[in-house]
Amino acid sequence: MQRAPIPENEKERLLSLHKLGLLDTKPEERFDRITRTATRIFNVPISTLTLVDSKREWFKSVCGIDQKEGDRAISFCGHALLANEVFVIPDTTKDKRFSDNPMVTGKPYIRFYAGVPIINADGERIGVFCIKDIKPREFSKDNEELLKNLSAWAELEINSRNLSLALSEERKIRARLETQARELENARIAARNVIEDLDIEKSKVGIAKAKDEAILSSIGDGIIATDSNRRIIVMNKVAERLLGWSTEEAIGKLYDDVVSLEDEKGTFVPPEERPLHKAFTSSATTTTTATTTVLYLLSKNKIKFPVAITVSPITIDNKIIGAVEVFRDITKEQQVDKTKTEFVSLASHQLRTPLSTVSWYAEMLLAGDAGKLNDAQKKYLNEIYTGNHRMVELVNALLNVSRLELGMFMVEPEPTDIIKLAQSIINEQKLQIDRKKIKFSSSFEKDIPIISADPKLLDMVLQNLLSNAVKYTPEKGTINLTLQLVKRGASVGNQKANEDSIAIVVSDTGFGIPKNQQGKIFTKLFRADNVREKDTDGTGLGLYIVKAIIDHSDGAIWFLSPGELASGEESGINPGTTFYVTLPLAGMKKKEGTKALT
Amino acid sequence: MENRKIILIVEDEVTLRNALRDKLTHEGFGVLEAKDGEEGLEVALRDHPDLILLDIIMPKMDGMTVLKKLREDTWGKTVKVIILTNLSSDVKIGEAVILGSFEYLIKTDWKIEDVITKVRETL
Repeated sequence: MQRAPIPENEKERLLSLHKLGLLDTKPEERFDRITRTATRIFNVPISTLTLVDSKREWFKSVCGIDQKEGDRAISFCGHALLANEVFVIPDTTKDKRFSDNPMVTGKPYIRFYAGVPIINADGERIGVFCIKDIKPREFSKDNEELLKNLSAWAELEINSRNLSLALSEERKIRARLETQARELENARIAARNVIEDLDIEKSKVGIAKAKDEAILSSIGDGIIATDSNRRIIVMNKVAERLLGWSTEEAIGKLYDDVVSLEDEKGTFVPPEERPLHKAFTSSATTTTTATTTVLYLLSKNKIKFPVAITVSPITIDNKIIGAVEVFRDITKEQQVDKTKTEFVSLASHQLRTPLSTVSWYAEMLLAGDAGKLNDAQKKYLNEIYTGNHRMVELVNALLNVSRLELGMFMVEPEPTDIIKLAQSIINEQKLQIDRKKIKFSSSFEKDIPIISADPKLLDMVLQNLLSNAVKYTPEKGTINLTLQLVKRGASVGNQKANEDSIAIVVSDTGFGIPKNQQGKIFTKLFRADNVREKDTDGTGLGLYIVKAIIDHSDGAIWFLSPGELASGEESGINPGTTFYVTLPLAGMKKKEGTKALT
Repeated sequence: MENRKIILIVEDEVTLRNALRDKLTHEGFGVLEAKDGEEGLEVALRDHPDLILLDIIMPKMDGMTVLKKLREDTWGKTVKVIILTNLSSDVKIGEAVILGSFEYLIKTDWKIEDVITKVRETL
C-alpha cells in the first residue's frame, strides 16, 4: 500500500488550512447540499468534502457514512490532494497503491474513488471533494467535468466563506480605523477648541490688562509703584508729566534716582525719611498733605512744586512686595490755604478793632469820663458793653474754630504743671462761683507729674469745662474738680484708659444734657435745648474746641449725664453732668502751625 | 506839672487812638499821637516820651519794625514800650519779648481801665 504523500510546502499549506477556521466546526448546509447533490448525480453511496490536516483527513461535509475523520496515511484524499485535476481509481482492487488499503479490504469496502483537489484563496491545496462507491465504476470525461464543477462549487463556498470572513474582518478593521479616525478627529477638534478657548481667554486677559493699564494711566493723580528693591515697576501719565520722566526711562530705575524731594527750606529729603521708605519700614500707609509738613518735588527739568503724597505698601499674603505712591501737585491747595490763613488773620484784626472801640468807649462813658450818667443810661450802656463782650468771645471762639479746622493752630508742648493751671482757672472763676453761692470743691492727686503739654491749650480745656459747669449749675449747686492718675487698663467714668493718663473730672449738679441730644454735644455751634431756654449766652463752640484739642493730644473726652430728670425743676433736683478728660502722661505732640489758639 | 508823664500812642485806628488819648488825658497824662509806625518812630526819637503804646499792624511801618529801630537808638534802647495789638496769636509775641517790650496787651481782652493800670505799673 502506498501511503498518502506529503507535499513539499506542507507547512505553509497547513497554516493556510488552519487559517480558514473550518476544521472541527459544525456541519453546514451550504456544504452538505453539495455532497448530497454529488451522491444523487453520480448515484454513489458516499461523498465527502475532505480537509487534509497534518495527521488526519477531516470531513467538513460527509454524505453516506457516519464518520467524521480518518487516518491521513491511508486516505484516498491524501493522494487526490496532489492530483492535477481529477484523481480517479475505477477499481481499487486492481490498483496496487490501494488494493491492500484497510478501507478496501475492510469496511466500508471502497472499490471506486474520484476526487478533485480544493485550492483556497492562498493557492494552497487544503482538501479534496470526492465520491466513493463500493462497486467499481467507469468514470467518463463528462463525469469528470461534472465532478470538477461540483468541486469548484465547494471550493467557491470555502473561499467565499473565507472571503466573507476576510471581508467582515476588513469591515471590522475599517470600522475600528474609522472609529479611531473619528476619535482622532474629535481629539483634534477638542484640541482646536481648547486652543480657540485659550485664544479667547488670552484676548480677554489682554483686554482686561489693557483696561487696567488704561485705568491706571488715566488716574488724575501721579502713581508710581516700586518692587521691594524700590525699583520702579509702574508709572502713569500724570506721574510722567509731574516728574518729567517718561515711563520707559523710569521703569527699572531706583525710586530715589527718579523722585527728588525737598522740604520747605529747599533741603534735600534723604531717602530714609521719604514716605515711600516708611511704607517698607513701618508697613503702614503714610500721607503728607498741605496741612502737615509740605514736601516739594523737583522734576527732571528742575521745576519745584509742593506735593501731597500717600504711600502704601503692596502686600501679598502679608508679605510686602513693593510700594505704591500716589501724589499730586498741591500748588493750588497751598494757595487756597494761604488765602484762608490770610483771611483769618485779617478777620481777626478787622473784627476786633471795632469791638475794642465799642468796648472802650462804653467803658469810658460808664466811668463818667464824659459826664455823669443817670441810672437808665448806665443800664443801657451796660447792655451794650455786655453784648459787645459776648461778641468778642464769639469772634475769639470762631477764630479758634477756623484755626483748628484749617489745621493752622500750633501745639507747643512745654513742661506743664497741670495742678497750677487748674488752680489759676479756679481763681478766675471764683467770682462767678461765689456770686452763685456754689459749693465748690477740688481735689488733686499728690503724685501728678509735670507733663509735656501746651499750657495755652490745656488752659482752654480746663477753662471751658469749669466755666460751663458754673454757667449751667443753678445757685447753691455743687461743683467738683478732680485731677487724678489713671493707670493703663484702669477705669474712670466707666471707660478704660488705653495708657497711663491724667484724668480731669469736672462734675456739677447742673441742668444736665438731655438724653436725646447727648450725641450732639461736641458738635460745632450746638447748644442743648434745656440750656438755651435758661441762658442765652454761649456760643456752642467751647466743647467743640475742647474736643478738637483733646483729639489732637491723643486724649479722650466724654461725659456722664443721666439726662433731664422728669420732675427736675419742680423738685429742685437737677441731674447734673460729669465731664471726663484723659490726657496721656506721654504728653502732647508738637505741631507746627501759623496760629496759636486764643 | 513838671513830673507829668508823656505817653506816645502809636495807633492807626483813629477811634482807638482817640479813646486812649481821652482816657490818658483824663487820667492826667501828657499825650503824643502818631497815626502810623513811621510817624511814631519819628515822634518818639524827637520828643522822647516816657512810655510808648505801640500797635503792631500799621501802614508804612509795622510796630515790630518800630520797636527794632527804637532799640537801635541809645535813648530808645531803654524806653518803656507796651505792645497793644489784636493779634494775640502772632508769632511776633516772642519777638516782642526778645526786643524787650515790657508789656503785651490784647486790645479786645483788656478794658481801657486795665490799660491805664498797666501804664501806671510800668511807669
